[in-house]
Amino acid sequence: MRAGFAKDTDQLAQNPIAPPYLGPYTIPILIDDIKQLQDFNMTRGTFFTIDASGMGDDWVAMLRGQGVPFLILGITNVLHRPDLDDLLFASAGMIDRLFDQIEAVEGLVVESEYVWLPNFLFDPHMGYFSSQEKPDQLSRGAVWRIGFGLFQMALTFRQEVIPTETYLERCRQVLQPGQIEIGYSPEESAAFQAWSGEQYQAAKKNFVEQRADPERGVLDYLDRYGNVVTQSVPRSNDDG
Amino acid sequence: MMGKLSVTLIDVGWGDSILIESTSAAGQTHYALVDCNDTSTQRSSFLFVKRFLERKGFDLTLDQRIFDFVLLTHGHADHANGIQAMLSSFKTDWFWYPKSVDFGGFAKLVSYANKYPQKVKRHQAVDNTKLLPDLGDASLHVLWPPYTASGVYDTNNENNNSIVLVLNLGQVSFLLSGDCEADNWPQIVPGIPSIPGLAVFQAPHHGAVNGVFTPNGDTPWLDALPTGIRIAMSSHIRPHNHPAPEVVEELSNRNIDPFRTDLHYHLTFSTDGTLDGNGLPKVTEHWSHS
Repeated sequence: MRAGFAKDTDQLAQNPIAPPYLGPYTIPILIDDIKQLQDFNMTRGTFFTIDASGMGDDWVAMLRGQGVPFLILGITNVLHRPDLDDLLFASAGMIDRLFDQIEAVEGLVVESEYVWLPNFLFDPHMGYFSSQEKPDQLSRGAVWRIGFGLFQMALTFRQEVIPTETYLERCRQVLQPGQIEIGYSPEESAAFQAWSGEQYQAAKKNFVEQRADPERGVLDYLDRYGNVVTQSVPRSNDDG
Repeated sequence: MMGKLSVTLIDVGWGDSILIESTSAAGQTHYALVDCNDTSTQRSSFLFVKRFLERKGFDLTLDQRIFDFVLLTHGHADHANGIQAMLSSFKTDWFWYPKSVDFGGFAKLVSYANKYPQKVKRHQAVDNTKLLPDLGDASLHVLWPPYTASGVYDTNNENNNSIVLVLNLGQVSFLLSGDCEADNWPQIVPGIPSIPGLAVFQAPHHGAVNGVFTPNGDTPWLDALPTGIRIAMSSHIRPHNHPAPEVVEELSNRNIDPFRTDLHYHLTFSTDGTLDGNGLPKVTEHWSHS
């Protein structure tokens, strides 16, 4: 489905939206793991989706610029931009706002999914991405954007529709040197890293609150001498 | 009535998803989940757990907390995808995970736990100093990762932050290993002889070479295991050939015939925590296909 972000129909009626950005669509992929095995040289990259477990109504999808009302019934959507106005996740706040906006709707959750991408796609000498980018940006948590065609192919491989060799061959055929189907996204790498850091800070704050809450509490632990230390005694530097 | 402990390696096609059921001698049953690897379009693990609970007589339309704990062994996608749906649908008392380097997918789970206490009552990073509450009559012990004052144990290789968990009922124990690579096991194996009746051992990292062999070819956990132990693995030939042929050969050389989810599908090991007539841990295996 070539769709922009959905809005409810009331809001749409009151505030008609400009025609959405129709492409070329690119999907942000967060590097998760890099395999450099004898017979498997691929990088696992995750992306975020909206999963609808229940049935929702009053939504509209933008299909090639036309609004199409629909009911949600177990649909999965790939998140590729923060809103209709912005193309990139440029800040932690944009990420948080989008996730909160989605999960405020009963039955919708933001989930993560992954695809495998051949490591040769990240080779700067192949010319699949612009030359100022460096291979050391292929590190865990870094964000790369990949083109819609490549993403579709990667999903097909992920879903085991095509075997490994076919996938690799198609990647080689479709991605001609100089054709930018993949690119490092420094702005989004920084934004997702900042957003991740904020979640861990929130977890540390939660740990303190949890420890003070008799209904919840935290785990006891053994100190370096093997003595049990109860949850009421914070450990130096122990943030949970 | 004796207590009972069952561990099921759900065949999810990729990665890990392990369901634990512990029924106490008093007849109360407790449930837990270690890892999950569902995709948004293939919810193998979710459906397995849902059907399992329905067969147990749960009315899943009721507002209830199913899991005593959900544990994420480490922050890799093939162990974490789908956990949020599990937390959202079945709710948990505890959500445990190791400290991990900054990463969006893992951070999303932590974020969810922060924001939805009605789904996740409490959550916390764990290491081998933490004392986990019992699951029914079964006790839980974390062997890995070690506590480090600086926080994350390994900032370069997330596999090495994997939580290694021992479940013990009476005189029988099962060990779950996540993707904890062989390099770490020389530090873990000195504790293995003190585990009562270790009967089932999950081969680390789905039977990958680096889960079994150190870079210089040593096999620390294999060398430390008691004779007759059952080795199980959440294995999947696609996409990158787990278990590795070298691992299969090494196990074969030692006359070990492992239990594999790619061959046996869903694998369940159960025990009542007692020894058999020969003084060996009493364990039964069940699988859905052979």
